[in-house]
Amino acid sequence: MNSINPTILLVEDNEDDVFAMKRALKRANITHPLQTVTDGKQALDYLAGADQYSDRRRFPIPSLMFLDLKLPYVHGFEVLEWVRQKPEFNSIDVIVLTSSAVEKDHEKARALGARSYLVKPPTPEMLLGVLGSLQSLAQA
Amino acid sequence: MRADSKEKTGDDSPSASQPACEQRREQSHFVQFYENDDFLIESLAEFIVAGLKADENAIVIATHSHETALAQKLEAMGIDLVGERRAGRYYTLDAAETLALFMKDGMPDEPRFDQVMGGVLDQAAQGEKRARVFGEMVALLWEQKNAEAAVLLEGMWNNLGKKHAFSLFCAYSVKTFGGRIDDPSFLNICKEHSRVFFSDKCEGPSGDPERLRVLTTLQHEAVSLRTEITRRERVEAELRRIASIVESSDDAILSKSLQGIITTWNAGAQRVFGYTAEEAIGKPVTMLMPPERQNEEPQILERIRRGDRIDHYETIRQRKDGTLIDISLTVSPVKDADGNVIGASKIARDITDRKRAEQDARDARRQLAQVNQELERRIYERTASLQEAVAQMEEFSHTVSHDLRAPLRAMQIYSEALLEDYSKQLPPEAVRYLKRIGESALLLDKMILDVLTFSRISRAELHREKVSLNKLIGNLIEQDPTLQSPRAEIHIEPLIDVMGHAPSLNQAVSNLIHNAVKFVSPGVMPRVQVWTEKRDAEVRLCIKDNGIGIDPQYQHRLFKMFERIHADLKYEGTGVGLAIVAKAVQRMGGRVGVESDGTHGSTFWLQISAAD
Repeated sequence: MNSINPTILLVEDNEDDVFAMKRALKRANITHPLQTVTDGKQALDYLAGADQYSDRRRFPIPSLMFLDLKLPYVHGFEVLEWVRQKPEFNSIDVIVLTSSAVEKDHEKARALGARSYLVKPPTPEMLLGVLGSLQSLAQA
Repeated sequence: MRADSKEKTGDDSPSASQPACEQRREQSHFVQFYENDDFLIESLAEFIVAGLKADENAIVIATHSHETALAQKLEAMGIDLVGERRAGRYYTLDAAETLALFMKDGMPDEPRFDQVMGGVLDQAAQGEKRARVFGEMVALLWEQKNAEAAVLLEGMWNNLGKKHAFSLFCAYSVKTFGGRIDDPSFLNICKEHSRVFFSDKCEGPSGDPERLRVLTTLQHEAVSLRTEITRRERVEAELRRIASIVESSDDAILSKSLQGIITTWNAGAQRVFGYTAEEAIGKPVTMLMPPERQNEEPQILERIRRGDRIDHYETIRQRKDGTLIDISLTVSPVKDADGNVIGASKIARDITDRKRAEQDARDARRQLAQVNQELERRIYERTASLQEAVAQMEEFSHTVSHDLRAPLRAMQIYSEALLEDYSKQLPPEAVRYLKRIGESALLLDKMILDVLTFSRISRAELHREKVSLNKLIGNLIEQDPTLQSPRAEIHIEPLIDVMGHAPSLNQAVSNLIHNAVKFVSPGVMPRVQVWTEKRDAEVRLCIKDNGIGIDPQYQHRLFKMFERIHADLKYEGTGVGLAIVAKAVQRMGGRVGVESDGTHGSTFWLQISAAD
């Protein structure tokens, strides 16, 4: 793991939302390397270092993960649950991204171990506000 | 009738020249029946006085009361009893004490009797005098129902008379003969006496001993008949009473022989079974049984023969007209005087109505159970379909919020990116169009969110609890800079707690306060006042603004979905906010309203239950 410039993993299937996230990160001057996967299964493979993601130098374990909920194959909550069951991923901060501000989803995300919750679309202000409080990127 | 009257009336009879007492004196052992003590004492006194005059000694073996009464009578007749006693001519002995001297195992013992009474007679017979004895010991035995001992004792007196010269006066109260005409003991008593004298109640000449004996027997029979009649009258009255009870009973009461033949039949039986007594008596009781129950009768008779009683046996019988009736049957054996079962009495109660009522109750219960089951099934089905509908609705909402909003978000994102990155290269007109695209996308997104909120509030389960409006409104303002100075001035009075569903209430109050600050004329600082009023068990929350007001003629449309009063673009809204307020408050059991003259601001209010 590159502690000097930790990686951010974005799990998002909608390319418009990927665009919005990249743009918001850029405008917020967050320059950490960004890895993107587009469904739940890819997210699990990436984290496990399976198949195409076996090269940890190219695909390092992220310090921060933006996780959409409504994902193909494996739902965001399942990904979150899986991550939180693995002690080796304790250091990953997970921020749930969703289009709805439904209280139920928010509560569940908290209960499963998400650090925070962002309603799309992300803005530079939102990202700076959330990231500022996180341990994972504090060195940056 | 008194003895002395006999002496007077005796003049007509062949033996009239001799008074009764004189006749008695000549007899060695006679019996006097009496009905009252006065007669006995008078008769006895004559007997004693005649003896004393004839220089015979008197021995009185009597009950204490008779002895006392006799002494009084004798003194009244001029006898110097003290002198006579002193001279040894008048002896008295207590009957019970003397009797006890020679009784052995409940019977008189002759040797002892001879010893005791012989001694007494010897003593009285000093100078070879005759004695006159009055004895009540036999009468005592008689009263004790020891007839055998009494007859035996009479015989002992007779035997004693062969050795001693005395005449014996016996007395029996007629009342002690149980009133039975053919009482053999009465005749036996008579047999033991040489003469019998009938009692005071019987008129007739004295004289011929045989004639007296016959008369006495007749008198005994007459007394017995009187007693018997009295007894029978009593029994008859009792029977009549019982018969009237039987007759007036609602229950059928009948009796039957051991052969199953009906012997009695009351009015109740006629009512219950339809047969008159004439039709029923003499007929087999099986005529009351439907064909399939004929076998019950032998079983019932068998139990009755054994002396058993059958209590409240519920069965079915057939009326004369063929209809079947439910009855409760009680059958008891009827016994003769010796305890032999000679028949049975039956009490049959018509329980058709009760049975019908029981059946009706059972039917009603069954129907109720069926209806309940049906209801439960329907409720289950409806609940299931409702749950399905809710699930579908939630699925739909989820789809709307995620999938339908994604393209809108893209419109926002790209129009914003265009504006940010290329606005300097675009003509002002194009920039304005771009802005309008972004605003429309944002508005549509808000409308979608509001509709989702509305549908969520419409179907959410509302758990009402105590809610502090002070806290709720305080938090709302604290979290939203648009509700704070310098952008707005909101003055809140201390508010009364309410009963409500906090999230729904939060939504409603939030919408009202945002409206209050939104609808102001350009350049006007929004000023909002918030207060509560207690109205009976409810609380009215009022939110007064200094906005543009609402024309009263449009106020009724305000709380409907997608209704907008102000066409002006600067008051653009989704048209759902107040519908959400109305729905939320209505679901909490409350009401909403507005007061406005159309120019000087508005006061929106909602009213729900107070917390206490």
